[in-house]
Amino acid sequence: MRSGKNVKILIITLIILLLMGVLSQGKTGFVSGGLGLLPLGISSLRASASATPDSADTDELSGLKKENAELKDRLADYLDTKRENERLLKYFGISKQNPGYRLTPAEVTARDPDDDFGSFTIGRGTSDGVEEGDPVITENGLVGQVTRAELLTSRVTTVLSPDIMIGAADKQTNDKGVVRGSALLSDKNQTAMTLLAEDNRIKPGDLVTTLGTGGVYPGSLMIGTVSGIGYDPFDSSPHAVLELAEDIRRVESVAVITDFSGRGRVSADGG
Amino acid sequence: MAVKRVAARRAVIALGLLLIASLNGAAGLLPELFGGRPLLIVSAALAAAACEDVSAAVIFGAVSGALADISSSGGIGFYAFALAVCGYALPTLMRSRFRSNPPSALLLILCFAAAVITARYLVSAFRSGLFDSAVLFALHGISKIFLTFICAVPLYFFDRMVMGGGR
Repeated sequence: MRSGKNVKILIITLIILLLMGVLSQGKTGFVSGGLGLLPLGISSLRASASATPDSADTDELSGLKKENAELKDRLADYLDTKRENERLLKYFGISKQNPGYRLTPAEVTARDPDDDFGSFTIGRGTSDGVEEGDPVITENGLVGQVTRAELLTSRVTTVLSPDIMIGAADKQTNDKGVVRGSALLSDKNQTAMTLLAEDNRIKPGDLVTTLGTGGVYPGSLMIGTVSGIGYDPFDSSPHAVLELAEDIRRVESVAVITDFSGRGRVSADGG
Repeated sequence: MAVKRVAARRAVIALGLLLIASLNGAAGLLPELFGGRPLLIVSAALAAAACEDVSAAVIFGAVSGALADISSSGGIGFYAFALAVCGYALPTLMRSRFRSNPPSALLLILCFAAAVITARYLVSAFRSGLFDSAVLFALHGISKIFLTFICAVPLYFFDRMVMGGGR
């Protein structure tokens, strides 16, 4: 009797989940946005906690304790401000070199433990002008793309993922191909440049950048350096193994390119 | 009185699940070990299932799985269904085939964690191919299973403590 009741509860729950799953695909912004708020708070708590110096309590002198507490607060503020300054200076440099970019700096607030390609959440969302499809960079190069933008947070899928495909070109030889993540290479912070011509002249040490013809990524964004040439085990087509310019799994702050000249326009030339 | 105690206990577990769902991927909270990170929501849902009766475990599993899916992909999907089914199967097995004691509960939690995570990679094989999924399972999945189990152990004993040492 009881097991029959339990089976009914399970079946009803599964039916409700199925309906909710179908009806709410991608429209759970208020829930996922809410879930993203606590890590936002935690990342700022961590910044303050790491600034806390060792304390030297002297119970007898309450004035010294009060002064000590004030100095701790000031030190935490100073370190916060210093970090923010360093971060903004980096992106000021990128903005100066590329006046056509509109950049929004962001901190990494959460990493998805279920994702094997280093996807992460940043503390910027649609309220800051971030949209789905925006490229995400650091001062070293391209990191990924915004694949979901909520009000206050956004999810970034990294270039290690096979879901992200980027038109790319070898700067030295001008050979063109498509950069796509690989399960075998992702752990080594590497990716593959596929769909190469048979007569390509790519060699180790060459720099690979974005092509910029699809209107999705700006041209000449650094992706990585060729570390070797490999062959697909299933169809023997060549691909270049790229060592990414940025260590994706250790990234802590990024910038989102919310606009750039040529965005949304497909062109025949790169850049 | 007993009803109030049960309601209070379940409220505590529900709040704990919500907190864990929020902290699931907090940057810097849990480091990557041996290529994987624990799925705290799965740990919490299985620990709750090992302590609660079937109906409560199914609901806890469904809700925590839905929260895991929403924070990961934005829509309700695999984990909601998988943890709801675990919420039914785990307490049913505990009652019918095993003795209700911590070693049995922990063994079942390990088995169900392995089943959920392995199934996750099998499902992803439809999208990314069997070879890639197998590689990812070998590199990340096995360590995820053990880390998820290790995180479930203190959560299980916390749930037992909240229950007052019962089950």
